[in-house]
This record gives sequence, structure tokens and C-alpha cells, in this order.
Amino acid sequence: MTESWTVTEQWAAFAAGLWTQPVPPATFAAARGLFADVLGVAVGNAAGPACDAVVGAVTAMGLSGTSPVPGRHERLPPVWAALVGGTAAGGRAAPVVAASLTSAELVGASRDDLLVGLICGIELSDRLERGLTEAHQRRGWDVTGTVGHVGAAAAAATLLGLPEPEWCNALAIAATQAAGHLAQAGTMALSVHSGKAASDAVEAALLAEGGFTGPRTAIDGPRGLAAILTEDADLPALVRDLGVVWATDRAPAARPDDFTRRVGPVLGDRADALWDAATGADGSVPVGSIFALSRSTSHSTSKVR
Amino acid sequence: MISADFAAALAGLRDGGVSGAVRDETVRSIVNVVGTSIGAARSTGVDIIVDTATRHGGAGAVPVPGRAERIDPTSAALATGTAAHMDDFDDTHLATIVHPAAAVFAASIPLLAERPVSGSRFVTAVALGMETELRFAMAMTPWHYDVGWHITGTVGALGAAVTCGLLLGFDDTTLARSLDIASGMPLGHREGFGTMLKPFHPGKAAVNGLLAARLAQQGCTASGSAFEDRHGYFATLSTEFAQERLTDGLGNRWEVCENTYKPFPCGIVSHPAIEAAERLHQGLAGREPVEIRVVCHPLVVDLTGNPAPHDGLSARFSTIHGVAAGLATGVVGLPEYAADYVLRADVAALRARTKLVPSAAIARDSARVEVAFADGDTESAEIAHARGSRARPMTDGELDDKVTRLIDRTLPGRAGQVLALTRGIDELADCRDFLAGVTAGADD
Repeated sequence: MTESWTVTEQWAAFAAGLWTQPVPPATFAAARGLFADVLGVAVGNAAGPACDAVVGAVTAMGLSGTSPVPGRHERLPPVWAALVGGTAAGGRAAPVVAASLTSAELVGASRDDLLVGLICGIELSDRLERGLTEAHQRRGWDVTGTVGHVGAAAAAATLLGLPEPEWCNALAIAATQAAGHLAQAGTMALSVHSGKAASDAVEAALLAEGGFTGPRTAIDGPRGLAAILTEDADLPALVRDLGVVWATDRAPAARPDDFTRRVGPVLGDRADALWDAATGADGSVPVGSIFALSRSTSHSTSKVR
Repeated sequence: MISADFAAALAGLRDGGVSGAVRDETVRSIVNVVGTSIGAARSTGVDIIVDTATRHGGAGAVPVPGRAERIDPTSAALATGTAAHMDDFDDTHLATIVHPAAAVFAASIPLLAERPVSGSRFVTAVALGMETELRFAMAMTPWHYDVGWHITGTVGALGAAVTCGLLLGFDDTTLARSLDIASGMPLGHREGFGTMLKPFHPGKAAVNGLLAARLAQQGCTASGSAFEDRHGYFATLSTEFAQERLTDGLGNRWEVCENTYKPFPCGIVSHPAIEAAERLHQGLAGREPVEIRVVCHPLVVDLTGNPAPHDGLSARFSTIHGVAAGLATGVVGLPEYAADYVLRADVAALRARTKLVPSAAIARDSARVEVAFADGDTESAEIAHARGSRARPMTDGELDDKVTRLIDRTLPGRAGQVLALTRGIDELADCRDFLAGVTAGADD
């Protein structure tokens, strides 16, 4: 890694290294907990009004596909499945987790593969949040929507196994779409910001895989994301100690009782099976089967329109 | 409440439909965007979007102008809007530098494909969508663009949401909520200029506008003060904003009527010099110029001063290339910005003999080109107001010529039929006939 590389290029090298150099076991364990926590929120909200509106909108636009949605029975194109998943999931990690789920399922990845993408996305979105500093949030940006675009694209591009040029292009395609403002607090539109971040990120990775291009200076260029979204960027924070300290380590440990409280009303006794798949020792479980476990056997909790 | 007031004003304008100069300029905008989107329909970037749709977009039956495939609705909008802006040959609202037609036209495609929509209703929806883009852009100009935003992308979703909402027959409150939701979906950093991301911006703005309208229709809630809130659209996107410009004279004075159309596929400051060079082409009569002087506004040197471009993209930022092409070929269009043309030895030789002579006495839409020959003879041509400027708008005939050349790239022999259909779109009973007419057949 050299100092003349752009931020995106340094991040791409970090992402590629995650497949070859093992992530510390404690970080991996923290990632399992974070994954389970956000998955639980997504399943718990899957039949809520915001998700119903989003699924209704996607269906009304005339879209259908084969990608699953956490906690629901509809199958949608991956870009739009990620929109629903990201809307359902809550918290700063929602876009990364939703994009990881959709991308991992698309390529037939295992849970532990998904966690590699998730760790990458959490790392880079967390660094971007700190690099944009308080000045970014003071303006009114919804950080979940803005940095979520970038973290989710890093996760999706990593899980699709994009080579370096395409990985950088994916990041650029997502970065130019970073958006969401806090005037929407208290409305469904706020939840849609994290859905959009996941959706735009999955689209960015798929377009980049097909050859679509963007600038390698998308983050640190003179008219790039950092220059536009904050008056007070801390660019060194974006890459300092990358691969040495891990943002995922700071995730609060997931609590099975919280998970059960959220997921139990939807899945009943099967909540335990989903928890085990998300957090258990067997990391080879396919992400597709985690989706299958997230769906209720009774149709009563998941309205089909 | 900005969105509620704006939507109510739009609803009043919708009910009467647009007529006269507003309708005429909207139809001209549609003619231009039909040309640019068909002209770039088979460019690499659009191929990638259509291929990605085919692999991942699911089933779909929506056409893309200039192409034969039928794909999913949102990918069709994305492909159309991206094609429309691909060659930088768009319409331009000079005060804001917005290219307003791409996003609203592209967002309409899926809705026109799925239901019968009359041509007059479509024209009204496009007019009001473009007016929305331009009004919100005026309110943030120049601060927002100066920050680094590509304004065509950031206001595009608002216009597209309005156009879609009108095509879907929304009431005032649902139309306002479409705007509120779209306010959280702006995109476009100028860092992407020179890559496929620039044309992607209006394409994705079209999708975001369509999504915002459909979310509003499905009951998605949003802040009613999403624009003026201290943490809202204007606060995040611009250092200052002039709210009065949103509605001042709305319905009487139309920003849509200020729309212009590029005669050449490159930066607008180059246009008068290129036009002067085109005029000199015949007078050269095969003689070799020894010196070419371009007397121009000083901004030309700053913005498009590249003397030795090496490919199509860098040539777009070279007034000297445009002048050399005008002298060499007589007509400057997309072929004169293809890499093989830019690298031609005779064109490079002409460029090497061309120099820019900036003059504070020359207006931005003016230029003079002076050519000296070996025998001491000279020729010169002066353009007082460039074709396509506000002082000398493209005539319908000039616009048709431009669009014909664009359509011929992709759908050879179809330009006359496409133009007749588009010029008469206001009279169409069902815009599906328009879509069928601008799409490639199996044998194209």
C-alpha cells in the first residue's frame, strides 16, 4: 500500500486481503453477533408498515425476481430485495448487513463468507463516518444513508469477488449516491434511506461487475464524496491502522433474549434455529438457508399483495 | 410547507394542460432527448445496464428507445436516462446548467409502456417535471453546483417524481409526498465527470423519482417540511438557498421556455468558434491554412483550452479540436469526436496550427476564426450569437437535422418516421404508439 494510492485503492487492497489473511477470531465472533442482531431486527420488522409500503412500491413498479427477502415470502430482483431488507433492518449497520445478505445469497456464499463482506463494509463505513466528522452530521445528513452507501458497496463488491478495478468502480458508483437527511426522522422515509443504501450498493456492484466505470478518486477527489459532504474531513482516519484495529470489535454483543423478543412473534419456536444458524459454530451454512429459516411457515405474518 | 405549496401550484397547472410556447418548447425538449437517447442507445455504458438487467433484473416488457430488448421497468428507465446524457449532447438550461429532459423522459418510459397515456397528458407531465427540476435548481444556484454537485442528478429525482405522479393521476397531497420522499434521494458528485457516472446520474434520478412516486402511492410517510427543515434537502445540499425562486411567477414565467439545445457535442463555450470554422470549410477549397487564430471569450482558454487532445473525451474539452474539425470536415457532430477522428494526422496538423486569442471584447456566445494561407491570402468568419444560444435558438429545422444525425447512428433510415411521431406527440391517443416507433425492430 502506498501513500500515492487513493482512499478507494487502499480500501480495495484491504478488502482483497480479507480473503487471504485471516481476520482475528475475536473480530469474527463480534461479526457473528452483529449479524444476528441486525438480522433479528430485519425479521422483526419484515411485516411492518414501512416494509409493506416498500414491497408494495416495488411490486407496483412491475418488478419480480428470484432474490429472497428476510422474513418475507416475496422474491424480487437483488437490487430491490436489498431495498426491502435494508428498510427492515435498523441501526447504522443496516445497509451493510442487507447488502451482504443479498450479495451472499446471489453468489451462493456461506455464512462465514458473508461475515467477511460484512466486516469489510462495517470497517469502511465506520471509518468514513469518523472521517466525515461531526460537521457532516451537523448539516443534517442521515449518516446511516450516506456512509451506508459506501460500506454496503464495499460489502457487496467483496462478496461478489470483484477484481480491483471493478471493486473501485463499484465503490464510486455507490459513493456518488450517498444521501439521506434527518428531516425524515420519525417517518418511514427515514427507514428507506438505509434500504436505498443497500439497494444502490448491490446495483453498483452488479453494474461494476458488468464493466460500468467511475472515478478512483470518488472518496478523496476535489469534487468527491468527502469534499462535498463535509466542511471538515479527516482523510487520514479513512485508512489509518487499516487491518490493525477493527470497527466490528466495537459492536455490542448480541443478546439472544433481544433476538427472541423481536423474532419470536414472527417465527415462534423457529427463532432458535435462526439464531443458531446466524451465530453457531458451523459457518458453512449457506446464506440461502438462513433466508429460508427467516420466513414464517404460516402466511399470517407476511401479507402477500 | 414548500412541497405542499409547490404541489398545489403544479396541480393547478396540470388541470389546464400546457399550451402555446410552453407546449412547443416541451415538445422540442422531447425531440432533442429522443435524439440523444436513441443516438447513444448502443454505447458501452447502456449495453452494460441492459446486460445487467437481463441477468439480474427479472422479467420485463419495457422497451428502451433505440434498442430491441424488452427489460424490467426500472432498468429501462435507467438505461434511457443514461443514454440521454451519454454524449453530453443534451438540452441545457443555461442559468443552472441543468439538462432537464433526461430524467423526466426516462422516468416516463415504464409508465407509458404499462397503460394508455395520451400524448397531451405526457407533454404536460414532462413540462411540469422539467419546471420542477429547474425551479429547485434556480433556488440553489450557484451555491449548490459550486460545492461539487452535478445538479442534473440532484434535482432530477424531484422532476421525475412529479412527472410520474402526474402520469399516475396523483392528488395534491400524494404528489407533495412524492416530492418529500424524493428529497432524500439526490445523487451526483462532479468527481464522476469524464466517466460513465456522469450520464448515470440522470438515469438513476429517473429511477429514484419513479420509486418515490410509487412509495408515496403505497402509503410511505415522509416529513412535510423535508425541503425547508434545518436538517432537510436545502440544508444538506446547498450553502444558501433562495426560496422565493421556487414559486415566483410559477405558471406565468416558465423556466422550461429557457431550455436550449446543443448544436455540437461538447462544452458550450466552444460552440461559436466551431460554428465559425464550419462556415470557413468551403472557402478553404482544398488550400492548406498556415495559421488559424480563434478570437474568443477568455473563458474558452480556462474551460476548453486543451490544444492537443488524445481521445474523444479530451477532445470535448478542446475548442481547438472543434475548430480543426469544422475546417476539415465542415460539419461537427459525434463522428468528429470519435477517437479515430481525433487522432487523424490531418486533423492533428490543423490543431497544431491553431491558437486561441482570448479577448475581453468578445461575448461568451461569440467568436471569430481567422485563417491565413501560404500565399498571404486570408479568410475569416465571425459568429455574433452561436446557434443554440438564447439569442439565436436552434430552429426546428436545425434541431431536426441534429436529431436526424443522432438517430441515423442507431436506427438508420428511421429518422423521418421517429421525428414525425415525436413532433406530433401532443396529438397521440396512446403513447405506446410512440414507444413502438422509437424502439428498434428485430431487423434494425
